[in-house]
Amino acid sequence: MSRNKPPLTPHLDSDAHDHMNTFLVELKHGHVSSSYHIAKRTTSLLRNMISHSRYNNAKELMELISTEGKRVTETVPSETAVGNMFKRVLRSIREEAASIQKSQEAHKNLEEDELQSTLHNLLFSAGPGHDLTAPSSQLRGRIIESIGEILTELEQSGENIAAQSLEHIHSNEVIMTIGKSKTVEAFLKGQELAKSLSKDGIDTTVITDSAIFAMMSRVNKVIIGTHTVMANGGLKAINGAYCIAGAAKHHSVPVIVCTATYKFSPNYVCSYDQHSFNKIVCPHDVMKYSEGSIVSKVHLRNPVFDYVPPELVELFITNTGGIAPSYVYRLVREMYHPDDVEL
Amino acid sequence: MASTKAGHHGGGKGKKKAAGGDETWTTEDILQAVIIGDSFNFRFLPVTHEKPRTLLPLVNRPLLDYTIDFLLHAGVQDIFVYCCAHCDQITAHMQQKIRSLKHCCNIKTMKSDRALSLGDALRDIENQAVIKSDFILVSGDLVSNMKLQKALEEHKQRRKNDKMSVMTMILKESAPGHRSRCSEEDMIAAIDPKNNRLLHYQMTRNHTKVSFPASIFLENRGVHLRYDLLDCHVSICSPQVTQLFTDNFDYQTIYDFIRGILISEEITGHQIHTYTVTDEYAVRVSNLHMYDAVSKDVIHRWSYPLVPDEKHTSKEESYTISQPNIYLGAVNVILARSCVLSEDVVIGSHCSVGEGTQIKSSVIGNGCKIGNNVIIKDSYVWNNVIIDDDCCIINSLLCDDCRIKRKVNINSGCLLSFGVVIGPDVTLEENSRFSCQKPKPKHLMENDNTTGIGTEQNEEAEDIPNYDRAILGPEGIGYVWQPELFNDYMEDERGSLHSEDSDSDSAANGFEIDDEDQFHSEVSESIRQGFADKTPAENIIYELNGSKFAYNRTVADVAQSVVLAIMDGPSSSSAKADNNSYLSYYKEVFSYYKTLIENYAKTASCQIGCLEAIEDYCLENSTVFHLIQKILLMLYNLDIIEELPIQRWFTNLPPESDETLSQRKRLRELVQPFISWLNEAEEESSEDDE
Repeated sequence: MSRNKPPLTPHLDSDAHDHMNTFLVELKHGHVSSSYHIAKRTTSLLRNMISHSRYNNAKELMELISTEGKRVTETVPSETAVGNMFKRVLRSIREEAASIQKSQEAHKNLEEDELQSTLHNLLFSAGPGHDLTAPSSQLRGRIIESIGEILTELEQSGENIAAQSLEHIHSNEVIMTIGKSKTVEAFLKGQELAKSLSKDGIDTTVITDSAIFAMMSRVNKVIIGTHTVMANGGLKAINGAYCIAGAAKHHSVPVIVCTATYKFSPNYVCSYDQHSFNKIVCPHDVMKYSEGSIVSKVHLRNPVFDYVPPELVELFITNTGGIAPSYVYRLVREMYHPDDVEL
Repeated sequence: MASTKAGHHGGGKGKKKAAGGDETWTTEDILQAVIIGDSFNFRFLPVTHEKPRTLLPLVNRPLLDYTIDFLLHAGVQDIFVYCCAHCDQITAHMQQKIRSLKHCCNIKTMKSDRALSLGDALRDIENQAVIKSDFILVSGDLVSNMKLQKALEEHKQRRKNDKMSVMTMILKESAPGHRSRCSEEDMIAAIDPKNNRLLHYQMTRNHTKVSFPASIFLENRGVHLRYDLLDCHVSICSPQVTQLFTDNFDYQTIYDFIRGILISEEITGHQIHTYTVTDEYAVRVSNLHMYDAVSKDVIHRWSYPLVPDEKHTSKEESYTISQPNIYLGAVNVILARSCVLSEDVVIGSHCSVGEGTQIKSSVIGNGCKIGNNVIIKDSYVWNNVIIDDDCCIINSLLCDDCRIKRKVNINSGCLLSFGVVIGPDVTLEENSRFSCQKPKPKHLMENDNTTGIGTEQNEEAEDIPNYDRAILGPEGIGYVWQPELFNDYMEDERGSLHSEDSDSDSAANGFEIDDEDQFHSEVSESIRQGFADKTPAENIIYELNGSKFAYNRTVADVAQSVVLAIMDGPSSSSAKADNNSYLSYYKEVFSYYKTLIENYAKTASCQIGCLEAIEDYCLENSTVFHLIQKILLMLYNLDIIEELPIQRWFTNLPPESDETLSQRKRLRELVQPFISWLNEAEEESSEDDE
């Protein structure tokens, strides 16, 4: 596709669109459930979409992506990883467009005073004055490249987190966790490795959620995974997480949350908006449908997530290192552009 | 997980190739499904007069969409929607669906005007040869979130080892008395616990006694008899199923098929297996009672992810949920400050609810206007319904575009079809149904699958509508449908099998019963008319041959009928006649029809058959009784009946238990002289030979 031709009508590649729809159907039907896979799938679909779609400049591309993102996030409101990846990609489009422009300007102003131009760049480089509509031949390639970087980061996030386990887990510690988190599993496996070096296996006791409080006093640390980290540092985690975090607070046990950066959402939680926050699923885990006439007489509610407020969390261990809940806003700010928060 | 993903991808790629030609698909790759878009019964009348059952909205979504979602969930890539009634509506609905799902699934609609039952539909599908491999057969009114993958695997495994397993039925566990059970679907099944083979299947339907063939207990080591199962009308079928339906053209329903397979199992070796679902949801909306139950289940999220607040395609209206199970349309819902939505309420987009209105356990469609101080409880209100102030609607169903004027009380069990206007200021009786379509008398009524609308509208144009305003109120529009027309509302549920048969196949059944009489009356008509007009015997033979083929009769049947018709001649023509006139009449007619009878009664067994027919006739008619010997002599002399058959008939007496035995013996006593004369004559002739 040559860029010298008259402007194209921005258009999403229909194949890529179809792939996205297929992915949505799979998400709906629960064929893909781990948020790592969701994030990875979304990113590679986006890469595919960007490389095959038609657009003239960064602005048009961003519009395409953000309409698509809006559609997708409305269809699967509870899977925040999808929206996060859309926003990450939008941010990198912005950055690439800006840096291309910067280099072009720099090229133009080469004859001008070196110092002046640097100062100029310093002042205005990240400013809003960037013209995103300027066409550029490098744009597509640069964006694909930076999405590739995001993908690599995603793939390595698990390892990166697990690698930090030695700093946080010491010998003879009792650790409590909840649910089934891939990240936490990798984290503890790293620990297992460390322990096996000291010729010591991990004793595991499975307890019910009703025994959390009773057991908490014997626990040194609580390590949990999460579905999403909200922008204020609160967690959207599997139900029971609030209970465990509350019990930990009472016993002054530190709560450590293992999470990769793709789980950080730029959204805040608001209590009235259960729809986009929680996911209420079929109540058959609570009571069997075949249990008879009682089913029609009661209301059964089976929410998937708990909201854990940031003050109950001690530390986040991310693939970029450990951060405190109060610092989450900063990380979010780095990852997403404020204009992209609402798709 | 990885494998399913790969599978989906493969499907996507296959589709692109298929754009060039379907032949690139191998049969193993694709999973096909057939949705029967017709119920073949009357449960939802008069609503289904105007809209097919599969498109009726359940919690503001057409039933067919639920079924299609279920199939997508199961990973089906090729769906055939078979529609009969209102097929134009279904096709129009599917058009849009096909477009939005083209990326993951290939949907085709199949139309037919002729199919009157599931059997007809499957035979038609077999004729069109679209089924290439094992397929899922499902009715278009199923709501389910079941994962079929495991059942499919089991089925495939079984088919690999044993080609004779033709079908896997999916059964849902559901304890007796559960709301998802309705008496018309109650069944009891005998299952072999080892391999889940179905041994016996019976609809219980208010029977208090159930009988099982002893053989199932003798032949199997363990048998589970289960009354806690619900047939969800999902079956994984091998291509043999459609073939079997074609071979046995009397199979109408799936029950006929199951019964047929189980009965002829020893001969054909075909088997049916079962798969029991425990956790997941699968219920069919088979009648209004089930419509109510399934709607409540969807609101209570048993069918998750098939719930209102989950968007399935981006085009659909979305809902927001709040506790306790209140779903509000996302766009333009206006609720007055003082209205009360207590629990289990769904309100579609663009609705408004007035001051002081109370809504409980109800579904309100899109674009409804509900006035002040209205009470709506346990009811279903579809789209664009306007309800004025001070109404009370309890446990009823209001279809699209209904208008309820002020101070109307609609009591339990009412059903208002499309566009009915009620009021103002009336109270409707319980369990009444109304429609803008005029009800037809029962014998003219066709079932769901035929559209009677075209003719209906013409009728209406002709005469000025005389609506039942005495019941509907002064401004009402619509007609009352008497309950005997459908006779199946909520409590009053007849067995679906019986009613289905009698409703849709009344013609065929009647045919069977009257067959013999009809044939005989045709034959005797030909005989009498032929004799009166002196028609040449050859022409009558042609005529009789026509009837013979039409009724599928044997030559012996025709001969007997002819003889009987002649015997019956005098009594039907002249009421009073003496013996001599009888005899002379017989002589005349039999000699006239000599060639004709000889044409049919050639063999000895045919002649014996004729004699038996005459004997029976004599037993019933005392006047002819005494003439038997003379009649026989006459027939013998005319060479219509030979000596040997007469003697054989004479010696052949019915068993002792027969009530008519004594009479038959008396008859033979009467004939005795003729027989002995015959014997003598024979002896004489044999002596002569010597």
